[in-house]
Amino acid sequence: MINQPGAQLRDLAVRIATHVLPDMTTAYGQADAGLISGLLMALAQDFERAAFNRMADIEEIQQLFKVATANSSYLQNTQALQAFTADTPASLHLQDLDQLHARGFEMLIDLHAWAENNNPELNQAIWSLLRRHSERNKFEVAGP
Amino acid sequence: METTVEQTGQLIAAYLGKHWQTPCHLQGITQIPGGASRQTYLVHLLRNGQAISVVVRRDPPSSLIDTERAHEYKTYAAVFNSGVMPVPEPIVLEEAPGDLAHPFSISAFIAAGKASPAGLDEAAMEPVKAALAQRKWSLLGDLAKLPPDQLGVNSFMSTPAHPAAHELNYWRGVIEADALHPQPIAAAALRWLEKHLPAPSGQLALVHGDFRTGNYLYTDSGEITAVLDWEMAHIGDPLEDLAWSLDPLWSPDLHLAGRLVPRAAAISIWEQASGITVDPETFRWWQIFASVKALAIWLSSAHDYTTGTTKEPILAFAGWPMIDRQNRILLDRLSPDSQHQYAEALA
Repeated sequence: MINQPGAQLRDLAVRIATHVLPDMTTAYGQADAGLISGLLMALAQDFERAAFNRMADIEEIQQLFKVATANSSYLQNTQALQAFTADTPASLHLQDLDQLHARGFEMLIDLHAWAENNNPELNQAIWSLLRRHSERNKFEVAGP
Repeated sequence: METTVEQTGQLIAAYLGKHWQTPCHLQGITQIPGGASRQTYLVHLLRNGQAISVVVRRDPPSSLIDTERAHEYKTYAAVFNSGVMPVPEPIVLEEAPGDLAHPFSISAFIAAGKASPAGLDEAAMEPVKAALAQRKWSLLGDLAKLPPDQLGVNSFMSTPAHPAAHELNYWRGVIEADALHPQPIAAAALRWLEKHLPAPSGQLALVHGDFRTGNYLYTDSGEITAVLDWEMAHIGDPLEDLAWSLDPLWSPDLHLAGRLVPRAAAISIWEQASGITVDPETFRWWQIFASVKALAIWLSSAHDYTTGTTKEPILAFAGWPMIDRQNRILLDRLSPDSQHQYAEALA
């Protein structure tokens, strides 16, 4: 087991930026090293939060579906929405979390399309959910 | 087996020797970073005893933008011949993969100027930013007022009856084909674009398709010596290029267009040069479209990096942090409770 893998990835990113990149003799090599360092930094950030963020999204979507099916006149696929509110991932492996997350997002897209034309409050709630999703998954990485 | 950079240089010298029917010797070669759609080399040669430098762009197995090299090469030739914008002189297009294992094109090297976006933030550039902005958006305005048939690009480009609908359909297709995970923000943006589709303006021009910081060479005195990367060029509505050039993604200072001047100033320069008055409603559509198109490119590059045959880091960089940034720009543009942190509210 690797302790604090996110921090280890971050340290590798810094090592490349401070030790490998300056020794590169071509502009192409330096650009490559810079990009790899930036990508490792992004991976470090996502590694640490990936499972938590996927679950936070899933739980928010479940909560929103509960409210939507109870209070709105949205009838399309209601049974699937209700079923999703009780769903749990097959395991804590990211692949399984991603699978459930993707299913939630697909249903959210359909619900959003309906809410835009029929339920401003729900529309706003979905945008707010998407904003929180984006903030949670924001990368702090310098551009190329 | 993949050739080394040095071997590639030797192959290029041999090829040009045959092409020019004169002795051609390699003096040096460097691979230029940042070419996401082609492998790019700067090659120094002795041609019949005379020093000459050329830029070679070779197709990789996978690229950020799926484009046709002949289309780009012909566009360079049309723009070079018209003189509407400074571009490198195209020398030869080789579509047979024989000599360099992949198709390639060769153009003249322009020594003056650099493309670095970060270079624009250096203190020495501060006094010339206004002049550079004037040049940048004047050039784009000049292109906007030039009819495509006058450039001759209509001989190899189609002319869409409804440019906005045409572009929207194309980039929607890219998102649908390449997104590795459902994209609720992109989906909402696509619905918005469909619902608010503007009528054709009747203004048709050659659209560069990627006119932004990083795709032109500038000097310390505020001159633009070349506009590069025409692989996404097409005939369309000139507002498309203007909106693309102003996307917040191209500037860390969110209130500046392309790290240079406030967006309103850039629009004003463009209006003056093109003779076209920007309608805010229509322009808002093109601004949101620009962010959706960019997001499509980032999703496509993530797809290529994950599933494709190349592991170029630039593809992953475009695919991971850029998707995140572009999504936040779209949220800012479309969310009903937006604080408009990334862009001014329009219309």
